Amino acid sequence: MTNSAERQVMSAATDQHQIVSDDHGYSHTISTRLMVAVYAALVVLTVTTVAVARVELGHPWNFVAAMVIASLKGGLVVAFFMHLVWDRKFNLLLFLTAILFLILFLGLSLNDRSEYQPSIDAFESAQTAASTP
Amino acid sequence: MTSTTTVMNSPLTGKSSASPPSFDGARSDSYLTHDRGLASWIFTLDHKRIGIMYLIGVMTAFLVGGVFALLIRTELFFPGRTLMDAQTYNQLFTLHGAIMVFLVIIPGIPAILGNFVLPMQLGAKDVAFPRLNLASFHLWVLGALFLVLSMVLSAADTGWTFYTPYSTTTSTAVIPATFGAFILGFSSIFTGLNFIVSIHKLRPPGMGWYRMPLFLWSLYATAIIQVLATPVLGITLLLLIAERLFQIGIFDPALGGDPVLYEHFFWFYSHPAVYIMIVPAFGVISEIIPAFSRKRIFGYKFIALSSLAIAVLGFFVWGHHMFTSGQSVLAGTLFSALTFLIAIPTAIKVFNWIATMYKGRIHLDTPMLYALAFLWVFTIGGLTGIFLGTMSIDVHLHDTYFVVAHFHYVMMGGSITAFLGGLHYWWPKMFGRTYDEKLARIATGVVFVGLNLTFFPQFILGARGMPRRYYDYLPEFTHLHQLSSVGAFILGAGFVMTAVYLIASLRRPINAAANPWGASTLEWTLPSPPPYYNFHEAPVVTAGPYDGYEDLIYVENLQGYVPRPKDGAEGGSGVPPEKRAEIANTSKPPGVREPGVNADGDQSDSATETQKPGEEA
Amino acid sequence: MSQTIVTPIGANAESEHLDAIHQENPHLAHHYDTPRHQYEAGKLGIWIFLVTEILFFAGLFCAYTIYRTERPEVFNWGHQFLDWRLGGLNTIILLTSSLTAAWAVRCAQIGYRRALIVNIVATIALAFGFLGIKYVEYSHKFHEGLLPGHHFAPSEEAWEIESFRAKHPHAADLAEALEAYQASREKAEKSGKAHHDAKAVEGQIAPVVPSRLRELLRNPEATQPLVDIGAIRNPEVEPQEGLLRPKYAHVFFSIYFFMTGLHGIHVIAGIIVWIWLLRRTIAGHFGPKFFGPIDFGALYWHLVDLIWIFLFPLLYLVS
Repeated sequence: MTNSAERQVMSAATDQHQIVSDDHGYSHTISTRLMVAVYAALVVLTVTTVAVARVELGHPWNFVAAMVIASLKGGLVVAFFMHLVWDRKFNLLLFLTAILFLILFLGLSLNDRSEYQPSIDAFESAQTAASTP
Repeated sequence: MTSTTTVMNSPLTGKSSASPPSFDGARSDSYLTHDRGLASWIFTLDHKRIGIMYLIGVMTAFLVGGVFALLIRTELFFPGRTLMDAQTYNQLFTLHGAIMVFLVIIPGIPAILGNFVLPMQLGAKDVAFPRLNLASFHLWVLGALFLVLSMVLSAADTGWTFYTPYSTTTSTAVIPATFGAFILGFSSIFTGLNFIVSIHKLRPPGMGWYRMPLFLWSLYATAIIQVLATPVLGITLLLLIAERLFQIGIFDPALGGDPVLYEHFFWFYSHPAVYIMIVPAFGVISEIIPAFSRKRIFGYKFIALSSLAIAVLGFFVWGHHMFTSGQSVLAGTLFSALTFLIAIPTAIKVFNWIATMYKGRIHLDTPMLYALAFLWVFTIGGLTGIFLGTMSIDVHLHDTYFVVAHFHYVMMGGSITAFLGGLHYWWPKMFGRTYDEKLARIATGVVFVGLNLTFFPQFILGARGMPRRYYDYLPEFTHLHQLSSVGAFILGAGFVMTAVYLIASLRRPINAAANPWGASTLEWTLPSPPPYYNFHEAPVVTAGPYDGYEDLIYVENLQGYVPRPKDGAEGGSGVPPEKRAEIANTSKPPGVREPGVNADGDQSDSATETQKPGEEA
Repeated sequence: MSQTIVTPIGANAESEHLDAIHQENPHLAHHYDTPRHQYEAGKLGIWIFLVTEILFFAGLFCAYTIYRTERPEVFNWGHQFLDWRLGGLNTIILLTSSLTAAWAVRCAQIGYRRALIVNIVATIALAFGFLGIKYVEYSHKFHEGLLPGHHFAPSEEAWEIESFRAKHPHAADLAEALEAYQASREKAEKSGKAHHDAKAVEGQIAPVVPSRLRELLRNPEATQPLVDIGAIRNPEVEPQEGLLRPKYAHVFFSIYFFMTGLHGIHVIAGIIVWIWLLRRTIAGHFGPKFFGPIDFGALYWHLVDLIWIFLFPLLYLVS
């Protein structure tokens, strides 16, 4: 993003306050309105997630719903409060890479655990069989 | 050019020398002598001093770990008890492993050579975050102290892998050892972070990604691994400590935990960690071979991108350490198949290095001898890794001496060999002194012989069934063990010799040329040793890092290379007036990294901050 | 031509220009050319650090996921003792502190020093509020013996926790009655009096406590009151799974304390960072020309908030 393009975005997003001078305008400033709007959305989503939790949706769906809402909230924080929407694309790439590796780690470990779970179950039933007289 | 700064203790005062430094100038005020006193070293922000401190620390740790290795090999000279009891033996191999892995090899090349060389190869004054760099060093020291604490209390006896549930229930001092490793992890993370930002943001004008020296590519790939993998080790060790202290029940089956989960957590870091150990070594070899073949590197882009490929692929194969641990066969198959893939970028490198040497003018100085040794020994180590990655074979070879031989071949024959090559390569730059070349070549030979004699018999031992981490063994293995132990002492002698002549070289007066080897990366434009600030301004780069060997000629009385003088021009800068004008008009404005034009190539139109002084030429 | 041959051109004018920039900007380090250069490097650096933090917590999320998938009963039992209202309040507190942090960055960029100070102070105050509520929650757990690992020894008071009572009022009443019964029995044994008091209590609970349980209660060796209480069933309704204490129940609290504890440590670290930034703000370091540290500190703080955004439903809103 070039300097002039950034300045255009800045003047659109900020209300009355112009950035002081050329070479100091090297970062986008979020507008008050947007900040408060994002905050309000986050609070609403928090209330929503609590409300949804009290409704029985069946086994995986409560968890899925909670994670979807949490991801939405997280997305708002990352995009707006953390400025990723206006930032260099590389920083977004970094963040997504972290998430990707998290999924890789979780996914493979969980998959493997579920594959050898039968041997754990066998171990535990053998244990309980041994301990009960 | 100097300025006031907010960095602490940096004595940058108003001395501004207008003329660019000549090749022979400024020796009296190098980074070594610029500031005096212990505090000026402990609180330094100079990356070169930090590199030297790491050198001293890491070599001390290498000595301790090496002594432990010799004790182990002495114990194994005869079956049964030779020197010590079994418990002590277990503690020795645990601490040998922990010290060598966490204190020596993982920091190794990045912390010592990387810290020293990276900013200079970038034409920069320092790394991106000098204070963070100092913090990395002090964290290293703190981690080392915790490992020492473990040794002093009752050294851990779990093996450096700290497998549960033994590590959560044994009575030895596991917590200091694991906490030390935890702290060392942060040292590693911060170094990686620093290098990534430095390479992105501190490249000089004209140095796009594909004009970077390959050492920097390798450090970049390594830094990616350091940043992504090490935090997982951190949390694993914390969980281990919590399991020991509070029996939280994550890893111990008696408490509802899962020991295979521990292995998943541990190896998710530790497999990429071995690439932290070897990829910088590849980078060093990529620097040495073209310089000592006087020939441009073959397949630059392939070598550069293969480092990244190895870094990424390394994250997908950790399960090949767990074939016999209770992991599912599905996972094992997947991990085995992916492991084979890593051979491809690695082989690409080896072939490109050999192609570089083909029809080159080979100079068999010590760094090149180490590089050649590397090619031989690392190939053996790497290929045996493929054997172990084959699940059906690994079932028989797991936890035998075959594994021990494999990883020592890649770590000792790979990382340490390349480290020694790099140390000899950059030694004149670091200290301004040359070492005794004759002694160095002899020592290289001793190290090479010792290394092979120590570890080759171990392949045979392992294939014949000798288990690893065993204190006692069947009499039929005795001869091979004895060969290995003799080799270990020869190897140790080689290292001692190396240390002796290198340290002795420091007592010589400064005698090294700026460019003794005729290499063509930016650090060789600075005096040996360099001034504390490296460069006055970032140099403009208009060529690749391995171009133009033909334009460097050897000058006998300097014992080094200088640019070939063009007709009519004086020596020194070697750029004739008409050439300067050409450069000024066609390249970007020199000196100033245009703000907004960072390494990612974005343009900025902030006219207030650039200027075009080239008009003056 | 090799890289070693090209040398800087026009050194003098360059040096002076760069010198001038450095003199105008006292916070500009010597190895950066312009403030923007330094800012961009700092931003990249903090984002890489946040990546490492995400992967640091990844291990815990992995352990959580595996245990929740393979031992759901542990989570169904354990989460009852967490109060979602306190957790929700903490969530709102942290979200608000994220707002004040983002606002602080804006104030620094514009140069509103007073508003910047107000926002930093507000962030710190909210962070302390978060820690305060955490302290309340933790002290409840301590008091009831709902601790990680081998310290796990839930006491009778566990059943009187507000959140449990709210979810299982019937069981809570039973637990209270049973506890009263056992207390009076012990008292009768000590004083050697006849247990007619005990009989009276027993009469009260008899209609709802199954006969097997009454057998156990009459047994002087009846131990582990909570296991017995856990077996309370409403005779008219199917036994509620959540009441039966599962074998590895302590693992829930191990995970709970480790995840929230590590998060809490990061909150404390964040407070220290904000206090340092407050001192520098008061000293007048920040303004439109230089606001990097505020920006980077706020980014760290948002990550702390982000992690809690996930911790809250994962631990408190299990259903």
